[in-house]
Parts: sequence; C-alpha cells; structure tokens
Amino acid sequence: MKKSLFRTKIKTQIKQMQKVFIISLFTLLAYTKAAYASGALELNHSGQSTYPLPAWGMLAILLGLGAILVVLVWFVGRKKGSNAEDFLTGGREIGHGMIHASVIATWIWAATLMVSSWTAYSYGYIGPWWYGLGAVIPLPIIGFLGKRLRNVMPNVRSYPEFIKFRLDNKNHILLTIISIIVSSSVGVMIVTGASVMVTAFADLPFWLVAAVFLIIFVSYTSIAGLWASVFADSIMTLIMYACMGVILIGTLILVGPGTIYDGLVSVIQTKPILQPGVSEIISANQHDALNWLNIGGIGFLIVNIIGNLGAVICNQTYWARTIAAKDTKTISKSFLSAAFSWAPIPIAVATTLGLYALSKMLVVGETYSYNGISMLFTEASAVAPLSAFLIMGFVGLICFLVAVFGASISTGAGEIMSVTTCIVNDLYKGYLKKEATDKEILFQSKLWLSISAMALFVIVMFLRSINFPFAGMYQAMGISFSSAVIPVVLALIWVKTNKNGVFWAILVGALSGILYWSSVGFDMSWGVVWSNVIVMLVSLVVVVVWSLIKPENFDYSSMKELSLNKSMKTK
Amino acid sequence: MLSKTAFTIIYSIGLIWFFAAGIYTYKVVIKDFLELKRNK
Repeated sequence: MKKSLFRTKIKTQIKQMQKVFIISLFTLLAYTKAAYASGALELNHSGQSTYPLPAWGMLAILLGLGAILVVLVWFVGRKKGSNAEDFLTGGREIGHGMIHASVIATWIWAATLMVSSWTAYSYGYIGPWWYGLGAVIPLPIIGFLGKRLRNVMPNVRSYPEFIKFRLDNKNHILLTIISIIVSSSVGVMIVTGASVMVTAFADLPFWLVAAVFLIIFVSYTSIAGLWASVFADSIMTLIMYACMGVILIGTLILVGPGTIYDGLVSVIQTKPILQPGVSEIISANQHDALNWLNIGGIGFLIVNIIGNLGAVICNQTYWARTIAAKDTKTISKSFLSAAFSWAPIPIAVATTLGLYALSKMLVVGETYSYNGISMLFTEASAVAPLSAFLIMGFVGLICFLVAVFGASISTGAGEIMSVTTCIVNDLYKGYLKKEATDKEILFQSKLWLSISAMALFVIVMFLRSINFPFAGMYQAMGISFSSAVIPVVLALIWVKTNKNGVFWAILVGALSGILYWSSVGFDMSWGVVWSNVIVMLVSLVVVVVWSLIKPENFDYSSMKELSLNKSMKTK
Repeated sequence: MLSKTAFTIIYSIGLIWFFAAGIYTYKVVIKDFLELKRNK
C-alpha cells in the first residue's frame, strides 16, 4: 500500500516536471523564433571580432552552477561522507538512476560536444555516428568488468587495489601511477578546454576561469566525496539534456534536415576550401560529406575505440561508479542504460551543429554575426558553439555553454576524486602509513582533493604558457596507456594470467606504440591509427603468451574478505 | 551519395534516440532523488 502510494507520488511529480519542461521549452523557442525572424537568417561577414557575452554574465553562469551544486550537496548529502569508507566509495548504496546519470555525465566531456561536432564538420554525416558508436563501446565493457570486480572483491575501493591482491606490488604501483596520470591528463584537458572556450566568448583572464572551475570541483566533492560527485553528475546530466534538447528542437524548427542536406550537396558540388592551410586530405573528407564510407572517418573510428578503452579502463573515475553502486545488478543495468543514453548525445548534437556549419560553408578564420553580434570562427573544433549561436542566438549559445560547463564540471570533479582515491587509498594507506585510521584517511582525502586541484592548476597554467598542442594529447594518451587495457581485463577474468606477463605487456605494448608513432614523425592521421593497433596487439600477445607458458592458478574466491582497509565490514 | 530521404531518416533517428534517452534519464534520476528524499 505504502509502495503504491509512493509510486503514484513519483508519477505525479514526473508529470508535473514534464509539463514545466514543455512550457519552458516552447517559451524559449517562441523567443528564439522571433529573434531569428528579425534578421539573423543570413550569415553576415562583419570582419570584426568581439566577445558575444559580457564577462559578468559568463562568470554568473559559471559561479551560479557551482553555487547550486554546493548548496544542493550540502542540504541533501552532507552526512554522506562522514567516514573514509563512505567518502571514497559513496557508501556503496547508490541506485540505478544516479549511477546511470553519473556515467553519462562523466563520459560526456567538453570534447564529446565539441569534437563530435568537429567530426561532422570534417567527415560529413557519418562522423558523429563513428564518434558516438565508437566512444560508447567502453561503457558496457566496464559495466561487465565492474560487476565482476564487486563479485570477486566486495570491499575494493579502487581497481589498482584489486591489482595489488590479484597480482603484486609492482603491478599495483604501475597501475596506480597510470590511473593518476590518466585522470590528471583528462582533468587538465577538461579545465584547459573549458577555460579556452569561456575566454573565447567573454573577456575574462584564462587563469581566473581555470581557477574557478577547479574551486567548483573541490568545493562540493569535499563535502561528501564520491557520493557528492555522483549526485552532482545526476543534476548536471538533467541540465545537459534540457539544454541540448532546446538546441535540437530549435534547429529542427528553424533550419530542418532538408536545408542541411541541400547545403551538403552544394559543398560536394562546389568543393569550397573551408579550412585554409590544412592538408588536401582534410578538405577531400569535407567534400565527401554524404558518403558513409568516408575513409578519414573510419580511421577516426579505430583511434576512437582504442583510445577510449584506455581512457575508461585505466581510469579510476569509471571504476568508482561501479564501486558506488548498491549491488552488482545495478552496475550492469546502469552501465548498459548509460551507454544507450550517452551515444545519441554526440550523434544528435554533432549531426545538428557540425553539419549545419558544413552545409552553410562556414570558413575557419572568418567572423560571422547574429543580429549584429559578431563571433570569430577560431578553429574547426569550435564549430559547435558557433553553429548554436548562428541558429538560435544567445539562447543557443548559452544553452550550449551551460551544457559544456555541466560536462566539464562533472567530469573534472570525478577525475580529481579519482586522483585522490588512488593517492590516499593506494599509496598512503597501501605503503606510506599502513595503520592509518579512518579519521586520518578522511582528513588526507579532503587534503588531497585540494592539493590535486592546485597541482592541476599549476600544470594547466604551465602547459598554457608554452602553448602545449592539446590536439595530440588525447591520441598520445591512448598510445601510452591503452596497453594496460587487455592485461587488466585478463587479470580480472582469467585464472592463468601471469603477474610478470601483465607488467611487461603494459610496458612493452606502450613502448612499441610510442616507437612506431615516433618513427612516422608523430603523424596525426594513419600514423596514430596504426600506433593504437600496435599497442593493443603487442600487449595482447605478450600477456597471453607469457600466461600460457607460465600459467598461474589463481583462486578468486580468496579475495572475498581482502581489502587495504582491514577494519572494513563486507557489504 | 546518400539520398535526401535517407538523410532525413538518419537525422530523425538521432533525434528520436536522443529524446528517448533523455526521457528515460529524467525518469530514473527523479525516481532516485525522490527515494533519497523519502529515506532522509
């Protein structure tokens, strides 16, 4: 009886929220349509570059989002991180809805929205599908692996901790370091990318924006640790869907697929140069916008799958969501549903925004204006916000920016939390102070959240000062760390996996890929593709052959009670 | 080269998939939030 009353209450509240959402959506669209009709239909080349948003407005959006998260986490979950176990594991009682949304939020990077639109602008209609379907593959895989991890080692707090007990200390330290580097690199890319975007649209100093992002990450995760991160991710996911939904419906009404198609046909027929100074191959891919066998897009698909496997499976952020889930059924259900729900985001957004820019033949380096407000098309990867602005004006631009902020904050906070878990749980508790009390671990966790944020700030500012080429950083990360994917998976599922085989497979695999990539001059097209393939194949061969020659006979059932924190109870 | 009809269908699949995923996400997240409120 009580349960059915609760269900009725939920249904009523969902219906009410749907009404509010639909009314808000139509109000926004009515405003946008009026603005669009008043003269923004033609793309004007104004020849001058201005910031479309005032600095105070941009800061208000950013700080407003941060303040909402801090207040909500404080009111709802300030007691959730009262001990080290709950702070680092989220209490291991989070339900399907929040894990589902958190996986989506942490896997939507600013790049998901920016780079996927770039793939549409560069490879035509098939680019977003390769991006979305390629990048989503790691999610069901880690859902399966996370379920396995929780079954064999219910008290685990991080995946390197599992490696310590399944393999040995050298593998544990190696994978802890890899996890810290991967999470930090993603954090650096997130903060830099989001800050660069903000400074492109408002007259704000880069250091201030980067600092504000990092302060937001730490402010709410310090309150309740992993639970706060997952809770904030859920809110951000709802905001992101709403913002992207407004842009998609707006474009459908104001532009429509027919107009975009006609524009793409014109691109194929007239073959304009849209990215002056780039190679002929890139232009040829753009002039092949309606071909599903676009060769550049296929190469991108291979890099996308292998690089993303490394970014997920070597990254504690995603394992943390499997550890925070209330049971193993929730893990597999949530990661599968998250994969289903994540893929259409880059597909729909990039098909809309990236193809709009290509169909309108927007040229990199030119300035375009909407109702007299100008915006410079700085680089091909910045195509999405420009399209949103040209289609829907400030409504489109602000919706896009809020979505990117949401993506950046949720992923950035998750990565800092992941770095903290690896440092405190695996290094501090594992080696530096094995007898550390719960209170000490909690204190160290909060301390390292702040230290990690400060370290990231220093790295971000340093890389910015030397104009570090971020375009190749993600590819370099894929080549350097994807070699750990197969050894880690085999350590989890195969009793014969040899500890030395895992260690050397990771090192030799990475070295082979890096050597090959350097031998082809760090080529960013097919050189990257083959380097990724080599990394995976070499690591596979080394670990499998080594394990067949010197097989172990590991008993996974011996891990049931194991943990770095001996005082912890099994849940 | 893709026909206009095929392009429109593919474009629509992306949009429909997006909104189906969005509605599902709203539903399960709100359900969890209400449960949090109830268990507080």
